Amino acid sequence: MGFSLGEYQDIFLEEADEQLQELNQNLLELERNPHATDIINNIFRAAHSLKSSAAFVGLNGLSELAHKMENLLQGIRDKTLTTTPEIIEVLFKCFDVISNIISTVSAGEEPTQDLRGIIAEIERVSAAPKGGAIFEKAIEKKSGIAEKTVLQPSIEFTPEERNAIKKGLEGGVSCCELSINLDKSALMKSLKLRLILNNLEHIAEIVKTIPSQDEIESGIESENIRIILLTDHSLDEIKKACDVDQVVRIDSREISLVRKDGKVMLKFHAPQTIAEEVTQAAPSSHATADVPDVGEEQANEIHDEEDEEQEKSSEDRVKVERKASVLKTVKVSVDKLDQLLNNVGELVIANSGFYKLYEELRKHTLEKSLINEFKNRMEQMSRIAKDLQSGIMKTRMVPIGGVFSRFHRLVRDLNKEFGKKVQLKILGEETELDKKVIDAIGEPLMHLIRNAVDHGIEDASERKRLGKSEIATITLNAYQGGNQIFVEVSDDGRGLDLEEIKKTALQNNLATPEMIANMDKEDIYNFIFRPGFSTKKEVTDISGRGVGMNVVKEIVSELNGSVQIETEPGMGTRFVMVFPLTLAIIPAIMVRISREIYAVPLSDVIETIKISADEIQTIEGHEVINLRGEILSLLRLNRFFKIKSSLTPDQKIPVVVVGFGNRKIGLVVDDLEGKQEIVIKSLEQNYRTVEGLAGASILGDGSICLILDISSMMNKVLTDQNVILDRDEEDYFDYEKEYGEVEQRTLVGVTAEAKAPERVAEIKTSVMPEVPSKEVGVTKEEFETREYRYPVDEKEISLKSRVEPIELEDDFKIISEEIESEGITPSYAQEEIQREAKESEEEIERKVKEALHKFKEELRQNIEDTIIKEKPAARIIQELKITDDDLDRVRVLANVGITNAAENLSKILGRRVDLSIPDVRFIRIDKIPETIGAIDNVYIGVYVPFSGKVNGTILFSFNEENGFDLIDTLWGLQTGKTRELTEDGESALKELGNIVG
Amino acid sequence: MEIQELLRRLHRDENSIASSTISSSSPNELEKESSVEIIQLVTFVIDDVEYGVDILSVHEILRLPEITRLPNVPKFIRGVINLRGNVIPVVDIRERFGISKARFTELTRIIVVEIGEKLVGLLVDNVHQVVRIPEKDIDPPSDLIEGVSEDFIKGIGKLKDRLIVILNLGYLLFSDEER
Repeated sequence: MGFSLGEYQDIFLEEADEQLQELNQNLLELERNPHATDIINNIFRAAHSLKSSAAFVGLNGLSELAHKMENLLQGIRDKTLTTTPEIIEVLFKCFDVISNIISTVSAGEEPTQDLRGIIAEIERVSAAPKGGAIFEKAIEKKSGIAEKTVLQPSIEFTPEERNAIKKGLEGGVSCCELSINLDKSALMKSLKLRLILNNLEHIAEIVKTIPSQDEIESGIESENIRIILLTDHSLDEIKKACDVDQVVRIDSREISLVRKDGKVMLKFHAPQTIAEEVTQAAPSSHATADVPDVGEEQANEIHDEEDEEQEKSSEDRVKVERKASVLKTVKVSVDKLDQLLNNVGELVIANSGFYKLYEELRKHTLEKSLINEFKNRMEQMSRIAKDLQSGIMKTRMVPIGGVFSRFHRLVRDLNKEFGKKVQLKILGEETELDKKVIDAIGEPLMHLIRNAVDHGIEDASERKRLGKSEIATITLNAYQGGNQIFVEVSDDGRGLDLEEIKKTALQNNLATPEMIANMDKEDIYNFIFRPGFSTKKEVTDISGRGVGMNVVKEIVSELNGSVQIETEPGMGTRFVMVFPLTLAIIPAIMVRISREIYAVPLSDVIETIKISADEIQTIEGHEVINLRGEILSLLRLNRFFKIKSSLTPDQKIPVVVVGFGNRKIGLVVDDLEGKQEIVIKSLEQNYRTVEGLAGASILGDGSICLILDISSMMNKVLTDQNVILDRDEEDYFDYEKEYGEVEQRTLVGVTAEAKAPERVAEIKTSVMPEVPSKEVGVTKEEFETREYRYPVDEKEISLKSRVEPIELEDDFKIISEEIESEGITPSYAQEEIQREAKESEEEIERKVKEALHKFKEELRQNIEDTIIKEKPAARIIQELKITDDDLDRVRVLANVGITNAAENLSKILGRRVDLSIPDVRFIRIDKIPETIGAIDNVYIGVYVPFSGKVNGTILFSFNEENGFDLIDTLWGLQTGKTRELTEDGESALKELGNIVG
Repeated sequence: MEIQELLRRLHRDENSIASSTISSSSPNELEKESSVEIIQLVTFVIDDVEYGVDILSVHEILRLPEITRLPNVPKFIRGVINLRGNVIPVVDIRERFGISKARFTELTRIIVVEIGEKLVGLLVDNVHQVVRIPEKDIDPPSDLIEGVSEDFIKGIGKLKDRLIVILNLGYLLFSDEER
């Protein structure tokens, strides 16, 4: 036959897929409407096409199965069988087996499915016809030969014709029936048919034609002609003779003589297509043997007047119609389209360069008419480019209907499984989506539908009780809005249970109660997209594992889309997936770092803000800001990309807030350069993927900008903390250094990293080389807790302040307090608030060294004395102009606060508690143990963070025994009972801390 | 000079082997002669060493365009350039071979080569010339070339008194971990 399975496999699979879909759809329809002949015809047609294409690629088993299906359907069509649920079930089973085989083939394996069982089943149901009477009658009429009955329209042979055939066949020439189809749109059909007949007459004897030669002569317009001819020429030659312009398909059936029961019969073999769409190679003449003849052969008694043949022409005709419509389409690989779209995208972008040029020209040229002409041409070109772009974009678009209709079957199966009554309503089938989205959207839709049936839809009885219609509806809808496509899955079920989600989120430790209290509904609903999240107690094979929704989210995100949830308790839930109209061109926010331009896909951007350096706080080395009450982590993009930032410390800092998953992060950049449409180019094509980059794009001026891949960036940041914590900017790429073109003094912001032994809120500050430390001093309005680094003699001392939440009226105060709590056994409670200086590690010093060189020199002179004298406290006091009076005032105020606290405590405990602060002083953090007591003693400490006008941390420390006694007191236990620090004890102490704080 | 002397000697040895083969298998002689392949190389010079790239893998040669730095990649990847809408990486040959940096000059060029399916730019100080060299005059790499890892060298071509280091392009683009 001259084909290789490999060559046609793809085409076959694609076709088979279409046919399966059609089959599936019609089967569902048939179930609802068992007597609709057109549906049966449709199924028949799908089975038939499947049969021939399977035979074509040599899948004989599949072909046979399809053939059996065809027989069964034929019975229904001829009313010898009636559609029973049993038959439909068998047909569904066939469908499953076929799709099984197809998927085996597409997986590249040889299908080994045993088809005998299913074929036997088909035979069983066809053997028990309900309309037996008709069937028997048919048998009688056809001398018991016909397994199958007549198809319209048959060829009626006159005795003369019959004898002519017989004579011819006996004389050694072959006889065949040709069915030739012309393009539907062909003009002058009769002329073409006459031409064919003319050609054939040279090589064959034409016995009969339908329509008849006379009719053709008289100009009848028919797309199909059937010719019975006797010839000794090969099929190839016949094909050539028929090969006239606009012939779309030629089928041929060999007719031979068979002797049966002493009678000579005409046997019609299975039809074979010898030419299709003209370009297809003609199969060789022995191909007939490849096609199973089972039931296909139809014998005719030659001497008997009442002969009947099996006729396929009606199907063929329908097929021709389908083929004709296929003829108008061209299959193009998506890659080619991508390439084309890429080029066009560039054209559009390049074109936008003309506008700039035009503006320039307008300024400089006086020749108005020339300028106007230029403008006209330019606009025309840009219009064409845009048309071209949208045109090519459209070629990538595929209607979503094909995907939607697949789910009828899923809903049907789910209905059976769950005993629910759900109907699927489909809207917006003609909405077109990018092919890439279409290919990927099936899975999320499936999960959403499963979820809807399993979780969303109530039982029929419950629905009845609620006054809803017993049959629930799941609606699939797709529509376009602006530059986006919306795909919805909605149900009219019970809606999402907010409380249940909260509960599960808490159980799975996805959030703390406080977090949940602060979340709006939408954020809470979004928990269902977390992996492993399921409110179901039981895991079924349909749902409950918490995988599905996560898959939905992931796939949609991959396609640059998002999912929104709308739900109303008792009314239903709607999931809206939003996709960009096209994936090749995306809008992006352009940002600058030093001299590099990066693009942040707009789909990832939540907002852009500008902050001042003051607003940045540091928690455990991570920079954060308070964005409308929400803590937002910052990532300095220059650190991620290892490039020196050109931000100056006094400048407002632009931050792009991006979302990834359910989280947000702020990207600190040097500048925002506006929004732009960009074409994505892959870096893999010529290099490899680069972490944090989605690709590159070429801007209007031909330069390249890199596109950020937020999710891969975040993965890297999360897995490798060094990316952001590594502050070693020495190695960073520096344009000034690299190219040295710009002679400009750079102000380098240096970040000091605190290595405090405690968890203290640290605030980073930028130090400008020119500014002496004093002037970077603290004002209380600014930041209450602040850390400085004073590099001296190759060493740096970081200072940390921790302050009581007492109202400070003038300068920054640093206090150290001791609290004696009386009435609580012989207790010795100590509250310490100290500011201490600490020597930092060498590595930090190295980073800052260069940038702060001058600064150091200056500082050395300023503070050397105090350091040498080892009196940092005095120095600090001097530096910050804190007088003894100030300290005293702090002590008074602190005592007021602590007395209040003691009073409260007394009330709560029902015992008298006295607290006082006898002394306020500075203690270096490393000197704390010294101050408190022997270093070997065990201490229990409680940190109390406080905020307000002054931020800081209070450390209560007790020696072990006192601590335990305190716990006992607080819990009202007998003194001496607690000897271990339990959770209860801990929380009691924390409470104490809270009260005091 | 010593090296060249060595190579010349090596060359002679090889020739004598070749001639002995020819004499022993005369029927194939003609065929052998005609099958001596001439390789064309595009050469460039860095610090007095001449390097060559097989002309069949050279796509084109560019004057220095604007290079966009690519972050978080090995240092020898200088960045990417726009080659008529294609984004292609540029390997800094000096950096790759661990040779000290040089300033860009008027002569600085990018040789765009095809490595497998990929287009890659090689940043070089200059493009010297195109030479033709018989395949038999190419020796396997030896450790005679200072500073350049053997991995990068496909062979050493001898052309009269010149030595040309022929580059193994496959090893240029990716660092060891990535391969």
